[in-house]
Amino acid sequence: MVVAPFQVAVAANRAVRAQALGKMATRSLYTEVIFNLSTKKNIMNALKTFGMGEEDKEVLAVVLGTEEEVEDKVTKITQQINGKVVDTSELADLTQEARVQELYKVTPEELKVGSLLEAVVSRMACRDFLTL
Amino acid sequence: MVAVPNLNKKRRMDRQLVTQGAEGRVYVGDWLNHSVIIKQRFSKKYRHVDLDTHITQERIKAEARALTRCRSLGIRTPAVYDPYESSEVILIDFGLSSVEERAEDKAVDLYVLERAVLSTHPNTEAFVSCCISAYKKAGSNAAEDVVKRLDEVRTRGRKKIPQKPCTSTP
Repeated sequence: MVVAPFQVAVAANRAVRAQALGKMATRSLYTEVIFNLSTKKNIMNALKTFGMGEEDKEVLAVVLGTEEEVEDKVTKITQQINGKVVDTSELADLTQEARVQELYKVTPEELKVGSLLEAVVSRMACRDFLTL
Repeated sequence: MVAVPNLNKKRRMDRQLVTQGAEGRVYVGDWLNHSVIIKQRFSKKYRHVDLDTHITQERIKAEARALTRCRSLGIRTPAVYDPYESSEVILIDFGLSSVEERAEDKAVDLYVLERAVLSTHPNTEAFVSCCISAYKKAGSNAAEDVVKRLDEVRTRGRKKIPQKPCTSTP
């Protein structure tokens, strides 16, 4: 459900800010990141859609912290996953664009004037006051 | 803050001021490795602080909403990346937009558009007239009502403009 790392960066940026302001909607920073990917206000729903599922063959992991913390966390995570680490540049190949379009309700008209990434990020960013 | 992609792709280390208006300032800058436009609204000191915060926040939301909705209809607007409400920021003057369906509101919008075009570009009376005809054509009955209302709206106000007929088919 991710089009590009930027989509996740935006979600993470908002999550970190919310945490700093004490305004997170969820209970942890990472669930907040997942929640921010969603355009709906239901947290459980967001975690189900964007969180890791039983059947998933690919996983995108997000790590937040200082440079040292991040290095350490990345090592820990890669050890816990039985698979191959690929560069984030390959993310685009894994994206199921049709599903993303459906999930985010992106219109064909919109794709004529901008990218799928922009459409998705706009909706994520405006979730709290926009119903499309 | 509403950060939107900077289509001119100018890259700066910090924000750079592009323009300043009555409501706020527009900057170009880098954000999460993307080149973006940032609009920041001033706080109006003459207002009570709670009222000011509320008004500014509502305008930020309204603008972001309007931009995104327009985009979904295929209108080329910037994509909103981050409408952050605490530091008085947003983009483009859609702050007074609403989603009311009344003919009066639409007529006023058309009037504003008409006046904007006429006052900024010379010899555009025919063009504006054609735009209105095209609008009527595209919208059938509802549009007819709006244009009737537009005639009424034109009669209000101090500066009235004579209407030139549309001489070409849009």
